[in-house]
Amino acid sequence: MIKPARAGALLLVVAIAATACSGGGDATLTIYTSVTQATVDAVVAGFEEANPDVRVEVFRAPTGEVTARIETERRTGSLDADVIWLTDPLSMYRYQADDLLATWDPDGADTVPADARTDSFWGTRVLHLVIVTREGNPDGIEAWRDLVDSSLSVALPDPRFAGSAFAALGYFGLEPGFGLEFYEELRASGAVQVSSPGDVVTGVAEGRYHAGLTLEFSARVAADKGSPIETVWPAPAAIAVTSPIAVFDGAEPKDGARGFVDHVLSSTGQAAIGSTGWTPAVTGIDGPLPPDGANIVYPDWRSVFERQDDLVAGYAAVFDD
Amino acid sequence: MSDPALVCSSVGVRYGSVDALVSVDLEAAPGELVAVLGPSGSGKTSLLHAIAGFVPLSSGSIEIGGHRVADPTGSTAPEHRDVGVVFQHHALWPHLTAAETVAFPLHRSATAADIEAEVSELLGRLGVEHLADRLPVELSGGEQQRVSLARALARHPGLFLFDEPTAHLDAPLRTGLLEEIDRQRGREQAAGIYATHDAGEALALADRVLVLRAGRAVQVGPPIEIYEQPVDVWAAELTGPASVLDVELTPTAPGRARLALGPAERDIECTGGAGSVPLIRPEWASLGGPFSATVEYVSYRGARTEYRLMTGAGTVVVGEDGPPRLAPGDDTGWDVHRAHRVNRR
Amino acid sequence: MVLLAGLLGYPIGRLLIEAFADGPAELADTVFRDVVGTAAFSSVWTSAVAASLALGLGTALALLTERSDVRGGRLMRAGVVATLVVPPFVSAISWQATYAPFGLLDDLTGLSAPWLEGWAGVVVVIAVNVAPLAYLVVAAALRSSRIADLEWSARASGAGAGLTLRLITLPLVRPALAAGWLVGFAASLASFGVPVVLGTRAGVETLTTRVYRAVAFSAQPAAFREAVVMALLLALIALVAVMLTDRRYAAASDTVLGGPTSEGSRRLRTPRGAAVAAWGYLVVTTGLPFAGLVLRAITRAVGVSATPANWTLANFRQALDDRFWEALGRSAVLALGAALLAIVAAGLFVLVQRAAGRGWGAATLVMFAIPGTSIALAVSLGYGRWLANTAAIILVAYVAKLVALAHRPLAASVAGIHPDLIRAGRASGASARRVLQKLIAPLLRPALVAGGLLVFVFAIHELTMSSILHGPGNETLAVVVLDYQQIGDPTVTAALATVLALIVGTAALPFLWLRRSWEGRR
Repeated sequence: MIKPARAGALLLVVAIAATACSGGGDATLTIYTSVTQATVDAVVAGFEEANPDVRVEVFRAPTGEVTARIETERRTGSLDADVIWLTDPLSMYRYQADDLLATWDPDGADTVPADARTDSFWGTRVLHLVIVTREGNPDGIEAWRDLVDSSLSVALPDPRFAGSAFAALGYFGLEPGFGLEFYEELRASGAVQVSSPGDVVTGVAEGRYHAGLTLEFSARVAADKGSPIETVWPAPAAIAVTSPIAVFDGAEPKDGARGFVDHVLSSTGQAAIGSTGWTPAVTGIDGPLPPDGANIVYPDWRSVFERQDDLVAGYAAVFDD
Repeated sequence: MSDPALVCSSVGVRYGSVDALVSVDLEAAPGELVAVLGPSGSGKTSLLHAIAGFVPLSSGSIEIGGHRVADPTGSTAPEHRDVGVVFQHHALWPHLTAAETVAFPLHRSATAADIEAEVSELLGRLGVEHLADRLPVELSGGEQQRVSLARALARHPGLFLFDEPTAHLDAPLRTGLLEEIDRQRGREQAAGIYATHDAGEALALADRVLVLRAGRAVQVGPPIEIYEQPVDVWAAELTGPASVLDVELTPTAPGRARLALGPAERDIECTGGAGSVPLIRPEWASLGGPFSATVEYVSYRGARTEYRLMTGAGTVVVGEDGPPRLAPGDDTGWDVHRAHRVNRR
Repeated sequence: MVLLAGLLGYPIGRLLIEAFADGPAELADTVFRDVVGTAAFSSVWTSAVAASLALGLGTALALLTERSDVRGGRLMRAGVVATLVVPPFVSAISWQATYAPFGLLDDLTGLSAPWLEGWAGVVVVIAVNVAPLAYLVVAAALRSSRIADLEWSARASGAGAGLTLRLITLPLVRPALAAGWLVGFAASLASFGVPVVLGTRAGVETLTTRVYRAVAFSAQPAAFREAVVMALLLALIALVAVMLTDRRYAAASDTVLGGPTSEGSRRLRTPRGAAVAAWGYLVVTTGLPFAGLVLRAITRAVGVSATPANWTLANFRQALDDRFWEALGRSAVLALGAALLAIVAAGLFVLVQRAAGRGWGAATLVMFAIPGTSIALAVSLGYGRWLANTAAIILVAYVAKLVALAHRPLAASVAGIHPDLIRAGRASGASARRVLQKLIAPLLRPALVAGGLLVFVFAIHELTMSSILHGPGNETLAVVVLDYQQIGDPTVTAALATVLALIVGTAALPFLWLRRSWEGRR
């Protein structure tokens, strides 16, 4: 007969081996991010090439999931992340206010536009929130306001899920002429909420919706594949979001974490961002740019941050049944 | 004089709080076959399992071939006892062929070639050599039991244990296998303990019979004694039909007594001593005679016919060769020449 | 016992402590909070309806394959059982790609099922996924030769086929029907992939999806507390179902399953059209959706027709990136580890069971019935402090959940070894060790292999638990698919789902083959 004790020991050994295999060594850098997989992969590959002694573990998920995980880990006192790289700056302001972020001066920080950086986080790429319509824009949609139209079916991404949608909420919420009333009007004219900007694009491509608010990147990728859609750079302006990166206080290894931020802001890192389809934050690096003549607004994220709880609650009141 | 093949002294086996065997004594000489006879649940299997070493003893001791193998303080492992076991349900390993099964006990002996030779010799002895490469599912019940017997033979033990080996076989197969068991065991000059609930088998096969009831040995003796002089009515009915009349026997001389029923009486041969009423086997009585009775039931058995008669002192079964010659309701006389004295039921 | 406590007792205990942390009043308040109550109610009614549908489908198929003389019954049986290995969320994605508006069918014929993305779709797809389970339970009961004898004695007494079915067959297998319903109910209750894929857009929320959202997307302690309470509720409902099941099922096995199988016994004539309907069912529920999935995966973009001109392998190229291969390797290692550990744990359970009685065997069944959502949350509370964000914590949850799959065949196999087989070995002069090596081990090997394979197949596509427990550097394969699904990239999602289905199918092949070889041997 197999001795129970012996089998139990075997169980323990295998469990320990599995734990050991799953990592957790000192030279492992853990990055929490909501940035698209291909972009993270390209940037991390470049970093690992330059720093072969640092192993990088990436947790990639939608913004809502990343921030929820950080909250949970803070509560249980075991924050695993060393570097955080998000889509929208709003969550960063929260971490900054809670003194979670290291204040320091990365190489090349001054190459990031002034309104996309603070002393503890820095914009890495520029996302543009635009309108996606059907091919040829048959409904003649030109402005954000055109989405308020009960003859159109319109899709909006969920701000609690996607950072870009959260940023849009921040911008509209505080912008004179829009405000939460804009969402109320959208809802009243039949707009529906889906999860991600990608869902919006898919829905429009399928013909399910006439138009929607989405990331210019998502629309471009789908259009390049052949989906029957079109990007509209709306009036008064497309909304720019500067995907920020930061290092947590107490990050291990400290040099590795800061080195990673340095790398992202370096010309190599920025080129990787540009080559995977995003507009680099640092000007002069190759990457997709908005068309000439497109109006683009850089919202004042600090003010938005101060009002964000009201905005989220107000949004929930509009879109939750 | 050589040691007895088996000595069980006051053997007791308990399962939890249930006594499966209570103080059973049993001895078997080399070459002797002892049948253990009893209904299911009487402790036959427990006794065999105790001898084989599958269950520990709660009291008593067991010696096999002069070696103490079990008592309440300890027990020799089954594989180190000089026994071969044939199981009730054959207990053939479903993943091994007949040849592999028979080779299993042989693994310690010499070379592969020797084993192969021995296996085919054993299978040949039992007439199943051609089935050597078959798995148990591909064998009939009788073939399975032959392979099982060959496996037990392979150890050439001093003592065979048979646990109702024919219980699941059809009648014709059964006879053949019984003869086979007798022949093979005899050839090995080994002792055997043969558990069965079938009195016919026990009487036909055994040198001696041990009758078990509820874990206790109630009688030990040669088959003839077990049949003709049972200790009580229960033991008598275990080995065949028996009638008990509600009338006292009066001893007349050693081995004789007077039986009086109504106006008639007879001086008859009489065995036993403990009780006072007559137990009569069907063949000890006959139709026609001084006693009167009414036929209650007739059952034709081919070579014989049995008549159940209602007498003034209860029913008696009378056996006679040939087909029925009376019908229920007929009045008839009857006679008896022999009885065995037992206690009232 | 320590193992049981470690795998389940301690984590569930932590779950209870967490739920009661703010006192019973707060707990009661949470339970009766609207959202929790609504989600619990949704879970129960969807599961009840899905289980009833599944039982109807499963029973009809079982009658056809076990009691009628339908041609190709064996193949049909294999087909039904094979659908069991399709990961439920892959099935949901396939249905969506095929029958939802703008899916394959819409593309080809202009017909579509708008109800698919909503409550009705969730219920139907769960039912289709659960039907093979109900089928297995009912078919096992119908296979008994006693049923055949009793049916024929009814026919000999003048009852027609329909009357016999109604008055004899169905009442006889009533315990199995009840057991089949309860098994289906427990499985539906645990369903996560289907509501998350088909329900999100329509706002369908069950306990499992709500726990996932509360854990994955909410930073609020209150939401976490709520998730804990919901996980407990889920476990509780499942426990009640399984306790009823085990009693019913035991009764079913005693009364009906006694006889040998009626393979080859006299069967009833197949009703006209039944075979066509059954094959049609398999095609509509499994064949076509898979075709739709594959077509979507090879179509270059959303919104273009799935015509050969638009076919491409680009989606597969995009799907099969480094992240995929890493996740595949990780899932394979996890599944292998889970299979080995589950076998060891099942072996220990069997030993304990022999020493301590039958009740211990039921423990593993209870573990299997508790929804993965509850197990994941309990394990993360119990071991998160030490193992958070490691693969080990996923492994613990896998073993806790799946040990029953290894235990059942092993226990049955051990029970099937007559003690005389072991005694015969000892009486043939073999030591305990040799008996174990030469006799017991070979007899248990098929059960060990089958149990291990089952655990492997279920672990490699596991989504519910890994979606809650995964962390940096240990995404599983299913989590990657879910991530693409949530980002909203249907073509790449379809490509991944296709690959996942092929992987699971390949992993399951040896099992189907083993099953057949056993049936052949019997």
